Amino acid sequence: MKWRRGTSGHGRIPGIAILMVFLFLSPLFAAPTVQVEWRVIDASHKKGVVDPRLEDIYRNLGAIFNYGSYRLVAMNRVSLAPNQQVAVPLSKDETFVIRITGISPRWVHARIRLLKGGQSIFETSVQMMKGRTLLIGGPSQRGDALVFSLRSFW
Amino acid sequence: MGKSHKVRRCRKIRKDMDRYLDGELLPEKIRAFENHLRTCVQCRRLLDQMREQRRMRVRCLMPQSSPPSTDQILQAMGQPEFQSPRAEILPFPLRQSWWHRAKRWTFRPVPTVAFALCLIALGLSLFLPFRAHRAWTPGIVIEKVESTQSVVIYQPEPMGPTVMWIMPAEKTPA
Repeated sequence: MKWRRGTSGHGRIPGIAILMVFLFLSPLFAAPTVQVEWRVIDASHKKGVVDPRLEDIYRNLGAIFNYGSYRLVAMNRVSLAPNQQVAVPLSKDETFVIRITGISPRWVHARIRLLKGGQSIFETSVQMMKGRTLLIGGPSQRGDALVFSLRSFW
Repeated sequence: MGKSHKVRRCRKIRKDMDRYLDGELLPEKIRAFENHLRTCVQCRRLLDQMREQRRMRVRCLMPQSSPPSTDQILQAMGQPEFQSPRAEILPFPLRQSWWHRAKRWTFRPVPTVAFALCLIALGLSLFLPFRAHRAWTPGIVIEKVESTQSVVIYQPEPMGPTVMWIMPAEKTPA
C-alpha cells in the first residue's frame, strides 16, 4: 500500500500542537503570583472634587460618612508570591504591611498589619476573591480619614 | 546507530519502495533510499522480492495463446515465489506510524467537529460553576482581627467592598 505525503502543510501541525501544549501547561510550572493593587486615599470634610479613579470608594463610603472630598495620595500595583510582603507608608509613623500567605485558584490569603511607631495597632488575616476590594480606614488626628484600599488580580 | 532508529529508518524506506519501483521518488530521496539499501540486507531482499512479484504480475497479465487452467494456476500459486515474502522476512510489522494513523482520523470533518464540541462543553462545564460560585460566596472572608482600637466591619453593598473602619480610642462604634 502506498502512503503519500500530503501537500497541504500538515507537516507543520505537530510543531504547532507541541507549542500549544507548552503554552497551556506553562502556567502549571510557573510559581503562583498575585497582582495586588493598593491605593491610599485621603477623605476630607472639605468640599472638593472626587477623583474619577475613586468613584467606587465614594459610592460606598459616601453613603455612610459625609466626607466632602476624596483624594488619591498614592497608588501602585505589585506582583507578590506567597510569603512576600509590601510595606505602604501612610503617614510619617504609620505603615501598612501586606503579606501574602497563600494563593489558591480563587482566593488569595493575606495578612495585613498597621504599624504605628513600629508597634502593631491593627492586624487582620483575610481571604480575598479575585477583583474584590477591601477598605481599611479610620479617622486621623485632624478629623479627616485615611483609607487604604486593597484589591487583588491574577 | 540504535536498533529503534534502524527500525524506523527501515519502515520509512519500505513505505517508499512502491514509489521507488514506480519511479516516482524524488532524486534526493532516491539517493538516501539507495544508500540505505547498500547497508540493509533485509530491505534489499524485500525490494528484490517486490520487484520479482511485479514481474510475475506483469507476466500473468501478458496475453497468452490459451488461458491457464485452474490446475495450472493452483500449481503456480504453490511455487515459493508466490509465498508472501513479508511474512517470513520482516522482523517487525510494516505498518503506518501513529502520526499517519492520527492524521487520517483527525482531518475528517465529523470527528474533528465532535472533538471541538467536546472541548467547548468541557470548558463551559469548568467555567459556569465558577461563575455561579462567585455570585453566591462572599468576596472577602475575614479570618482574624486583632487591634488595640475598636474596629467596625461592614459591607455597604452585597457585591461591594468590605470596609474595616478603625475607630479612635475615645469613640465607640454605633
